Amino acid sequence: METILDVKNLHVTFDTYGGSVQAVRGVNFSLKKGETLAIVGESGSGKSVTTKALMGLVAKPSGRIPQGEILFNGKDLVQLSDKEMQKVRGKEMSMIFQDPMTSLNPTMKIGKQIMEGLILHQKLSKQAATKRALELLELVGIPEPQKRINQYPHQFSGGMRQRVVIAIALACNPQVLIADEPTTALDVTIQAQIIELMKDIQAKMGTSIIFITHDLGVVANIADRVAVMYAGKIVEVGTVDEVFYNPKHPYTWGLLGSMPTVDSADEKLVAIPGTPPDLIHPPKGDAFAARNEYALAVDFEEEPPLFKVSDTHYAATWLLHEDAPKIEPPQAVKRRMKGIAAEGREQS
Amino acid sequence: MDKESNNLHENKFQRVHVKEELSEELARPQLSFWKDAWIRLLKNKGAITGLILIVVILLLAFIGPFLNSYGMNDENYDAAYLPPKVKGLEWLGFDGISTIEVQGTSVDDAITRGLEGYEIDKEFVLDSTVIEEPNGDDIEYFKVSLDVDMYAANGLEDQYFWFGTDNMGRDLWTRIWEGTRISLYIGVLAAMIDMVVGVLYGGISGYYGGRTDNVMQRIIEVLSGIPNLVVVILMIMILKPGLLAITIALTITGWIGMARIVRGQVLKLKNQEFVLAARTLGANDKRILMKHLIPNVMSVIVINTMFTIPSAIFFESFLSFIGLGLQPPHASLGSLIDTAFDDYRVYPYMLLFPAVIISLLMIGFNILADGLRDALDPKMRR
Amino acid sequence: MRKYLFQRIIYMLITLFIIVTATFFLMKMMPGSPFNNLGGKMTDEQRVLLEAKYGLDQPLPVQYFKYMTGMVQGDFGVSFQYNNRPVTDIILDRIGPSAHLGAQALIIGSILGVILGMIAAIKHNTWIDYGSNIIAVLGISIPSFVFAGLLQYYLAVKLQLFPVSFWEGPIYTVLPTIALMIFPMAICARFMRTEMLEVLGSDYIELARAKGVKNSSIMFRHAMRNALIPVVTVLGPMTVSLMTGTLVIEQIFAIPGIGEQFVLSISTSDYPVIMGTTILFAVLFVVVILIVDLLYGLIDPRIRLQGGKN
Repeated sequence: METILDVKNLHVTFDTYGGSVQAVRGVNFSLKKGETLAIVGESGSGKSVTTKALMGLVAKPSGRIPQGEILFNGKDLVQLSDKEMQKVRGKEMSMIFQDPMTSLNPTMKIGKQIMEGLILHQKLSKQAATKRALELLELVGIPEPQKRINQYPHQFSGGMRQRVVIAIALACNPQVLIADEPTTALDVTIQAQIIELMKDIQAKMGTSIIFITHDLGVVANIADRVAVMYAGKIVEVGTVDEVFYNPKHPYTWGLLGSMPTVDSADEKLVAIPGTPPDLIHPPKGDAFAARNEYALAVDFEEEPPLFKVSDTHYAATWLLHEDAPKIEPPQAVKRRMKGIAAEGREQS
Repeated sequence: MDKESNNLHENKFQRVHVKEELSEELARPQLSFWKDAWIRLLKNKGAITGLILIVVILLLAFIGPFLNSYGMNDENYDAAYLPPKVKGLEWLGFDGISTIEVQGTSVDDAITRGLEGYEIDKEFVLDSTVIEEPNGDDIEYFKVSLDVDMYAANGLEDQYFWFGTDNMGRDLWTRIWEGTRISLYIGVLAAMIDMVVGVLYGGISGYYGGRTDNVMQRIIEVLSGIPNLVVVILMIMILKPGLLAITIALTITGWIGMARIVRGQVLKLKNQEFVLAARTLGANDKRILMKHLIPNVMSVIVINTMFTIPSAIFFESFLSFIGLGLQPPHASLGSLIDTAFDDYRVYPYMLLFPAVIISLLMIGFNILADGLRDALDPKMRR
Repeated sequence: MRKYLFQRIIYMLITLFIIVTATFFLMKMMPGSPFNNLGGKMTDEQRVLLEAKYGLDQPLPVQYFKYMTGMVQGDFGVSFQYNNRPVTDIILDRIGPSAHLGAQALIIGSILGVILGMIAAIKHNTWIDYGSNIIAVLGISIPSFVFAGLLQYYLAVKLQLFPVSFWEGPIYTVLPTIALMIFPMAICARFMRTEMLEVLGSDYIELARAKGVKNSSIMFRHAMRNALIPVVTVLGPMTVSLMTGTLVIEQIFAIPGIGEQFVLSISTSDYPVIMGTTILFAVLFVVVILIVDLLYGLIDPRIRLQGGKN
């Protein structure tokens, strides 16, 4: 499959009064046509900032991209001017936001919000755009689109609003769809519906999806590959099966261990101790070392490179070094890994 | 050094025990709310400028009148309308020289008439320039401007009135700082009364809720429909104009804003867990109100009070300006400005000094209040 | 919506009734007689005669009833100072310049304020933002009469760019308008800036950007409308500032308006005129507050369709 998006050594920095926050510190990944890549990690790990950088939405002047490349079909988006980037956004790459309650303009009719992109990018006439907007509303499963198109966002429920946001994102048949925690703010039943909708659309339109979440159940359900982010870096990347059944990075173990599953009711959840590091002054060595039960002396001195586990599976931990002691993930985590993976499969 | 790094190399892949505290240390230190707010306030240049302005004006308001020997009401008609004069600051315009414009059929006529009108001897005229000559069209007279050493002309060479004198020869420096003190006093007093009444009313209304709240809110709704301008003017007209009357008039509707804000905060806070916890532990209503709610609404109270002070100062000066303020011989910044307006085209310094001081005072309070709001607003807290 | 409107109007009427009643009785409590100022050489018999003429010798409730019934019919009594001229006539005579000045200041002030606030928000944390912030602080802080005095001295007396005072043509309105509009402009600019910043930081603006909408469209089609809606609420304080302002500005620039009349009436204890003007101010204020609330409901779809207060 051809690679559509290739991110190389991406850095994003925000200048604040307290100092420069290095939110993203050298991220590498690629996205193939029609695949779904999930990026997981706790809040503040830089996953949202990475996607904002992809969309060219890093707030200037405080935010900037000091180095790195974002190759989209071979052209570097970092080098594009604002004007050129506007033509990419919404047309070739679009985004779904976390909170549907706040991501629609409260004083603009739904129809107009969907049509805006169509008129802008595809130069459709008003009639044509209306027609397409109706089709889109139908596609995302909104009943009575004729009536709904002239309503305001507050007349829609949360789940319906998220469908509208998806319709807006899909308006111009983008090649890449970035979904930034699209189900976090929704009820569990609605979550499943939205996930189904996205899978459906991907099957119909062949869109590549980058799916940001911290819900590993959702990952198992929707993703082909998973990238785990911690403190502005990708610490482990691989296919869903590789990451769920054979995780290598202690942080991934921690994430899996802290996830409840249906059959784990009698077991204790394993919390990751401490809090993420201050990214104004990132710690020396492995950023996770201070919270890592299995930390090695070298973790406090040198940053681990990405060690290859298989052709598709990489992890940045010194534990994979040949000199390192062989450590197996804790039993509790092992059991839970399987539980999560199985549940995710069942949902689909 | 060498040995050490070697040592490290050998143990490179040794597992190390990570202490719980280490990871906790990575979190930023937690500061108390007020300390945090204070640090943020100090970082705000505007707020600090405001604070300094207020402190300087406050100091001068108290010690200013004692810095020279003139009293607040020392009338001296020989010294009426003297321009400002400060030893050493002559180059800044504090030179005791007035510029007078006079008209006449010829240049000499204009000067003679002018000097007669102002009762000045010719020898004290330092300079004269013709500004307008008849042009056979709309201008019929000569207009001459004269620079006169007013102090010498009145035989007061040894006197220094730093801000000049008024129509009765009273020292404006003394009067202005006395007036500033009165203005500040009214502003602060009114704000304090507003605060007490507003906090009590809003606190009770929000805390008890239900029917009490309903009735109290209806009263506020009706009261807030009355423009405070009207209330204040009516109150002043009934009460004899004076310090107390002005303060009362200002506070009659002034507390409403505070009451509303406090009620809103209390309503928000009273259902939160810590109040529930206190109640479970058997704290009574009064204790909960005083120990838990009031400290938590403190920031909105402080912010609101800081905004009330300048608006009370403004209102007082406004009342003085329309003739409802302090009556002579008392003075406030407003009444000084009001008096100055009678003659300011000829004696602009009379208006300039109180105008600048009241403006600086208002600016100081407003930017300090803005800074406090930014510093105390919990929404901004990260 | 209709129920809400009805409820609001009832409250408004109660408020007005209380204001009128309070004003009436307060007036009656005023020290001194309205006839003290007429030359000061009035004998007691003359005063009794005059008081009888104006009905001031009747019991208070009777006077009150007469005043209220007259007021409902638009009759606010007669002035004690202007040869028995009806108060209504005096007010009508003087309302022109005040309304003209007030409208001019309100419109220009709020438009400039909105523009200033918007630019400040768009250019957040640049010198343009700081500059507009300084203008806003000055506008809010400097009392209008101080500002008016400085304008008059420097622009009219010294530089002679504008007439010093009086009300004889458009050029005469320039300085009073500037003096009067500076406060509304400042609060508008401040409010607009805050709202605009909040809107610009909102998710839906980010979504609009993600759609690839041009910057100018984001500002004008998405952000401005949403930021402007709450700005309507400053109309209330703006009206108050205009009323306060007219009292002093008209005085300073010798404009024959309501404000100048009011101050004059205060100094001559012309109670009927004071009462009439007070009631006029109160009505104006209450009506503006009502209009603001209704307008808010009209332009914000969220409130409009729910049909009531939020």
